[in-house]
Amino acid sequence: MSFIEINNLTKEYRASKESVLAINDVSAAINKNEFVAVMGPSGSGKSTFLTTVGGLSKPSNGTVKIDDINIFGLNVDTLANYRREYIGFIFQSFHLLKYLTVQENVLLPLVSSDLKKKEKIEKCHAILSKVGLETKAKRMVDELSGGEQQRVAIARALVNDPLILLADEPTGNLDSRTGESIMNLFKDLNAEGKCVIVVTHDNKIERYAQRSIYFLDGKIVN
Amino acid sequence: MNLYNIAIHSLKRKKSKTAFLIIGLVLAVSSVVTLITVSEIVNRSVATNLDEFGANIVISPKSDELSLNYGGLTVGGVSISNNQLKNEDILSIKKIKNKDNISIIAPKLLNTTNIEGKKSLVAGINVNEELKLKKWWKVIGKKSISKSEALVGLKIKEKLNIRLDQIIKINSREFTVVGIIEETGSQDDSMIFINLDEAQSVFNQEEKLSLIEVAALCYDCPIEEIVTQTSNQLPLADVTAIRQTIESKMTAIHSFEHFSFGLSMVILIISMLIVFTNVNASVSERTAEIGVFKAIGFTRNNITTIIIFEVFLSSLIAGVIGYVIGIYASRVIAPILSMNSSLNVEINIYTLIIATFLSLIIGVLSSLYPVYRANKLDPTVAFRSL
Repeated sequence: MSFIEINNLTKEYRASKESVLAINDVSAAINKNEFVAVMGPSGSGKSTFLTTVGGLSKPSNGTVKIDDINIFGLNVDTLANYRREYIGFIFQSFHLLKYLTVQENVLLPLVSSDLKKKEKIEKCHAILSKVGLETKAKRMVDELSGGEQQRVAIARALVNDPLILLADEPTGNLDSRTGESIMNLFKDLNAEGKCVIVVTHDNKIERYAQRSIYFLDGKIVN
Repeated sequence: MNLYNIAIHSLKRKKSKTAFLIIGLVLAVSSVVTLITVSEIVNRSVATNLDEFGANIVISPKSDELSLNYGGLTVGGVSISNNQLKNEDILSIKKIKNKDNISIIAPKLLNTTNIEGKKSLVAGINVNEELKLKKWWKVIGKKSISKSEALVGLKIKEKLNIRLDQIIKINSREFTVVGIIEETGSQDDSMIFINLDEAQSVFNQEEKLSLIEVAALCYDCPIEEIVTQTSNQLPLADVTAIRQTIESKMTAIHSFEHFSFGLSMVILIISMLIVFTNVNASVSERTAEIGVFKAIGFTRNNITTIIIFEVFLSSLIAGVIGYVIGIYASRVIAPILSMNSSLNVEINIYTLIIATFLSLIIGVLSSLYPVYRANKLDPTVAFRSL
């Protein structure tokens, strides 16, 4: 049994009178320590696949099991808690809250945690140190470069020590050198035991992954 | 970092939107506070003026004898009975629980006598109280009367052909007519008025009264209570509320109150729409942010807390500012509308709490649908929009 099991996943979007099949009857299995690159052209369904696997978007059909738990069988709030504990999301546009500092952004997933304030800050500083931003904790995020902002986003995704990291085009807004350092960071995290799934249409990313899944027109083609 | 910090930071970030939301609520709260305060003050002022304009309670002796009609009211018999009212009854009326609501007590001794061979009705009055009670009296000559002076109604003046300064004899005692009351359309037109003490002496009814008219200020007191309290003090008297007078007064008082209430409701609905539009637009603009909250594991409760706390803070500030502005506006408007420049509108902590609570209710109620929308947002759509 694989750590992540995706069975017959279908996601249909309805826009006015038309409906679009973003992913169509997709099945896949991903192991606990795997680094998987999800490749394919724009609009092929790879981002929808990622958000569905992460429990953010409910599928029209099919199941997603993580560690043998059917995540869409959970109620909305239990699924939110599950996401907080098990999954870290990283986006192309970073999606940091610009009105908060680096430290405050990283602390966001710990808002509902039972940890004491001091423990939360220690944890935050440890993660920031890991991504090389320990000196920038008090800075506002828009004072940072794109690469640094993506590192903040990675730190935010890591602060709860999730088992799975889901990254949607994490180097899309970065220059190639910064992109490379971010991918190396993902590789290190995978080496530490995290399951990393990276969506990209950049073929250069593929070499960091142990395995690639190719999407075309909402279906896995390899 | 907690949910409240996020809300506060978010409010600080969108200063202009927050200011717009607060201004919308301030306008609503201050308008409602002004309307209600002014309405209450004007109502009290109108009520006080109306209450002093004629009696609303008549006290007469319990009597089985033939009744005497006065001003359309049936009062006790004119002749002396065991139940006749006395001067000391006035003091008893002043002892009732709601004594502060009593503004005028006008006692009368009524009697008939022959003047120049014609039967006439003479009333002994306390002239100061009577003049306060009957503000509509227009008197040719002197308004106040002293010992041995009399006021006469227009009809009796014509009937007896009385002139100003003429001396008339009432039970052999001489009185100078110092004033003629212009036509009132009431029983007063056919009466001669002399001082109460004089009347009691002339008719040998020392300390005795035929009836007592009372004007009670009843804006915020039940007239029936006053009637009951007076009846308990004067068990041998009939105490009657003049229902028609009271109801017409209350109609006049409540008409402005209803107008204010209606206008307040319209203002509240408009302000709810302003808050709703503002919060709804804010949710639309924050689609990606809400998506991030969901992605990092915020529950519906967490997202609701952030949005509602933002509105709560804005409404709280707006409630206090709106109340203060409302009170200052009332201080300007109320004296003009009530034509009483000595009015003082005080800041009242109880009303401040109500105003703030009102602001919070408007804010929170108007945000319920936007909050529901935020929780229903599909984060995938949110991220795709960027």
